[in-house]
Amino acid sequence: MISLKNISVSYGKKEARTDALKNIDLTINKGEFITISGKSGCGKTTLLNVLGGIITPDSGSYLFQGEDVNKFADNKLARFRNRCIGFVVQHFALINDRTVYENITLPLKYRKKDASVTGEKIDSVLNELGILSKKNKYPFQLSGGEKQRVAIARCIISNTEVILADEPTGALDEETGHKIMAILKQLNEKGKTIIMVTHDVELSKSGSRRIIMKDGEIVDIIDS
Amino acid sequence: MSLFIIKNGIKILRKHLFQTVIMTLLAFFCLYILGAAIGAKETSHKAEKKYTETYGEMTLYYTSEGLSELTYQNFCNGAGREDFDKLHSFLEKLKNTDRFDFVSLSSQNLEVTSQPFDEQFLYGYEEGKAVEPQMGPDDKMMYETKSIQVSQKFFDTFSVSVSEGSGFDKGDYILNDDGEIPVLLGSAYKGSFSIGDTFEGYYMCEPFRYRVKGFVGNDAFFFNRANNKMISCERYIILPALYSDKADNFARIMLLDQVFGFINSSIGYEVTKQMFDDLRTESGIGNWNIFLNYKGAMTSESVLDKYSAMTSEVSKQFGLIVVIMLCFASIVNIISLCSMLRENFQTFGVEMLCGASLKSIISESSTAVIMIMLLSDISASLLLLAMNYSVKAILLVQLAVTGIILFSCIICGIYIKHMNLNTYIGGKE
Repeated sequence: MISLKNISVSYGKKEARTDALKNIDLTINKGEFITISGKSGCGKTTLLNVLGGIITPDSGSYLFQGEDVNKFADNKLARFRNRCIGFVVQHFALINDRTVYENITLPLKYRKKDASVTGEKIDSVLNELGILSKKNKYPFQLSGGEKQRVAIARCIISNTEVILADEPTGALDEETGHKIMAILKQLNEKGKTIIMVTHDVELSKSGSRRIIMKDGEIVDIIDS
Repeated sequence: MSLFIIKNGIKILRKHLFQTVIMTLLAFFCLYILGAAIGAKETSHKAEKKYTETYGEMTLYYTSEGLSELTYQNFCNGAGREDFDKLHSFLEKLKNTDRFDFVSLSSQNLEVTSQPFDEQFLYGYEEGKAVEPQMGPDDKMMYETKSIQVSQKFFDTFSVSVSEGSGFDKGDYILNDDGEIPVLLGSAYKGSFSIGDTFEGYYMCEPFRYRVKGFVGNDAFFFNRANNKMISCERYIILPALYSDKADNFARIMLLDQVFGFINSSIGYEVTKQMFDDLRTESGIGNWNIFLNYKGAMTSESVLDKYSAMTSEVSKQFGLIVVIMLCFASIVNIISLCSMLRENFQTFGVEMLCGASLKSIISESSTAVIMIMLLSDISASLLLLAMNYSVKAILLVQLAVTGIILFSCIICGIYIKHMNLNTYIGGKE
């Protein structure tokens, strides 16, 4: 499904140049739950940015279902993020002056009207995640756990195949973090491909495959 | 999706309401001033064109007297009226000849005593040194106000029209015994006087009452030989060049003063001078020092040049102020816009993560710009219409708005393109 070959990313120039990723080769199959772990600064978030089409690598190829994402123009890249990739990030990535409902339906505004996404379906997803009563609230009125569930609901509603999670429990307490992880596991069981970045060793063992990075390189891949 | 983008653009403005209001007001003022400046330039061009049509092919030659002290004293204080009648005859011949046009134009200031006059009407105001009021002989403050005394042809020669009230008729050029002189006032006097109002003061040291007969138009100018410039009539009092048959001292001084003026001639200097001298001889004053000057003669081109230079100078200065204001307002607005967009980067980042293209984000921010410009454009255009500015001025403002919108959208696009989306998914290591 996802194939990275010889991916390299660097920041800065000359003396200030930093190699964030060095010749990364990685293949991810559909339905996998991949965790990427390593110390701070090892390149895991950069790798996630490449997978999400946020960063274009300096070299290498990124194939998503056979298509080279690096060659996508701006509009196609936007469509790729809209239809194929969902984001669950540490600080939730919600728009504070829009309601929960408006936040979770945001991806739908950037595509043609989808008849399969009805009001009932949205309510059903919100109910499943335990935030139906918060539908008309604003993010600043929610707890951390509730905000993260809104972000997950957005991914579910937009029905993306891949969910990229960057430290999804980083801003949450332990109990809430476990709940979020449980939701992500459920989504994986339903067929979603989850790629999660975490610095937490215990959480890194949650996936079907564990990628360990150091200094911009993959140093180990452990199958669970 | 377009409606969604427009709604998002409006949300940006609502989130920054104070900045939006300030930017809209700034843009409104600048557009109005731009329209007013264009309108003023148009009016100036129209007046210039009118002058060109009026003047045609012509040259103005100065006339003046240079009587010796003895001749002058004999004339002013003489017992008989022979010299007085000769001079009057000469002036009448000058006025009545059909070979050229003689305009009597002298600048004797009035010393007004009946009421204070605003500084702008006082002699020396334009040079920044308005004459201070002085105590007069009857213990009243005297305000030395700018005034000119003109013959009938003054109005045709300089295309000075009466915008309110009526002009001088034939009888107004005769000094009556009632001590009253009809006057026309420049347009700046409109706030202070009405038709029929009177005021009092001294004209060549003699007390008179002056009755307002009318106001001359905004575009009335005359050529002031004292400083070689076209001067607006707006702050002047215009008196008729008066004749008094009494032939007393005052009547004689008045008559002699009427030698000062212009001959508007298209037959060349030599011929004009010959005719002028012939008329002097015919009138019996061939040996008086009354001149037709060639030096400093004003051709139609140089009169128009001076007029154009004067109005262009005003127009240039005004235009410079407008340009400076527009630049300042544009810089302020661009800085405000970029600041608003920067504060909205969080929202843009999330939208891009959810599938918004760069084009959509730029469209959203451009919507905000377009809303501000449209609102200020509509307000400015309505005000320009209400103030009777021309359609051309308003259309040019629309063109400027279009340019500003395009430029602002480009700035938005460049600024947003440099937005770092990484920040919203964990950032760089």
